[in-house]
Amino acid sequence: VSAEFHPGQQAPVMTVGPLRLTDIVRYAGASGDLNPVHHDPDVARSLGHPDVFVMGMLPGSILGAFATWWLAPLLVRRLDLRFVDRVWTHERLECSGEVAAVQGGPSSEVTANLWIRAAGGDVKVSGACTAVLMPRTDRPAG
Amino acid sequence: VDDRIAAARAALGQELHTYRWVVEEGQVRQFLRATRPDGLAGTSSDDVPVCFTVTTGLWGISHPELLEALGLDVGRVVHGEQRFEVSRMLEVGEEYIVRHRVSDVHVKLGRRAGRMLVVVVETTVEDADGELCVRELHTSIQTER
Repeated sequence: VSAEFHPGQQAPVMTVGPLRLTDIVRYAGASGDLNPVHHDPDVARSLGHPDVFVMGMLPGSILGAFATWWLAPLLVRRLDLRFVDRVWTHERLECSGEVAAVQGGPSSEVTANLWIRAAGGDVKVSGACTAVLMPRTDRPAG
Repeated sequence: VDDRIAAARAALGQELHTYRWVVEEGQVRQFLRATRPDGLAGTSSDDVPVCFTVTTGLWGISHPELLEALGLDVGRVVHGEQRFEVSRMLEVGEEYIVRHRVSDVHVKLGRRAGRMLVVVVETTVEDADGELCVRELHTSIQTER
């Protein structure tokens, strides 16, 4: 393994979004989350929201993809997400993380904290993940 | 809310739905396109994304439908937390068994929201040999108002 991680190491900051209605609809189709509060403004307003808002698992899945990319070649085997605040369709977001702990020799298990925040603002989704060296498959190669 | 608590508690521990699920390449690509930011395109491997098990509902029952069946008012439910535990990577083309069950029901007192019903649905994904590959926990919060 060439990549080595150390406690306190910061992930690069990646900008995301704004996540527009098209992004919401694309995620709804891809995931099966058809809760109308995320794509139908009439329903959102009837429930007291000013407008539709992004389903938490869209930035949540983006955070998962970000962690997978950042911590490669380790594989993310645990991901905890907490949906702290709603994401609106006009917001620019920033995704980042920090290594919390490294165990078992050079980067064989890394625990990291992750977050997506409004650019220059409050955290929207916070998370933690554990990434390890693990076999992708039990099958022989080829 | 008391009726809802009772209904959700009655379902505690019960297996709600079990079904066959195939990880399809097109669906994985669609999910990647929806969830991989432009900045990461082409840099990540083609492994099945860690959050991909949220799509199991496309084969079985969607999460809102599941919560509705438990007696929750889906319009007033917020998604509080989500956990994924991967013990074995999923593979494109492979067939799995998905099981949903209610793993926790409790009441929480919020400073602003008042009494809240918290329901945790566990989803497990097993391979053809019955080996656990992914465990997912979805925490929903229903407020009184």
